[in-house]
Amino acid sequence: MGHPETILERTDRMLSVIASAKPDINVIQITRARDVNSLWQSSLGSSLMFSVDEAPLDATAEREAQNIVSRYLQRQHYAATPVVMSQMVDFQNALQMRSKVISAIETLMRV
Amino acid sequence: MNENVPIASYTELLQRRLDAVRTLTRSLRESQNALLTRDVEESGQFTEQQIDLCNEIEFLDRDLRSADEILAWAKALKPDNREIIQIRKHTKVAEEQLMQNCLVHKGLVRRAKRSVTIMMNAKTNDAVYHVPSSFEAMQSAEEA
Repeated sequence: MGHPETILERTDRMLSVIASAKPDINVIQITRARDVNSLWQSSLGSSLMFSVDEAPLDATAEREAQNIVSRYLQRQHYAATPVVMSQMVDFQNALQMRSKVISAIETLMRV
Repeated sequence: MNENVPIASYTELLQRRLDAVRTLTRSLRESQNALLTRDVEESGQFTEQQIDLCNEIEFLDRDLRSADEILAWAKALKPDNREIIQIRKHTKVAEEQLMQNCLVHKGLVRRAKRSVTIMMNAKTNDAVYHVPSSFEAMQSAEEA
């Protein structure tokens, strides 16, 4: 029978476990990608909230937009594609440009 | 003076504008998928096409206004020209369809903007390293 573990030995053993414990990075990354992707889908599918300074949306157009999103979500296969921040920033800029196009069309059609 | 020439040009301007309005409506519809799948490259290509079409419509509107003034002054534009009336009728319908598609697209863009903001916030929070408390570290070591 060996000698009882000293405090020093116990601390060493615990520290070596802490130092060697490596979480499975792949599993974490896939889970996070899936979580972030599901945010995209759930956020797209939910109704819009309005602030007081925003013009209310046309009810028919809003219904149609909702239908388009629903159809997209139905045919969407669940995939945990990695979400890269730089791509998100690019996409946000692309959306800004698209908003400008929409404003331009509205202006042209009002004239 | 041959008055058919200005009318033919005017009709051509109207027809080109009608074509541009219809193409823009189609482009908005076709770009929906790129928007929903977050395809930046394809979405950018559609945006460029839509900007070009908006510019074309704007130039054609300017030309048509000038032509209106000239034709009114020259009294060359016959109001009962059937082709012109027909194109104007089609244009009215096409413009209504464009506006409806534009409103739908606006709703989609609003949703996409909101969603991407939420995703970026979540992604930013993900990047913060979670430091386990000393209690958590000790506990996991004890369990090992």
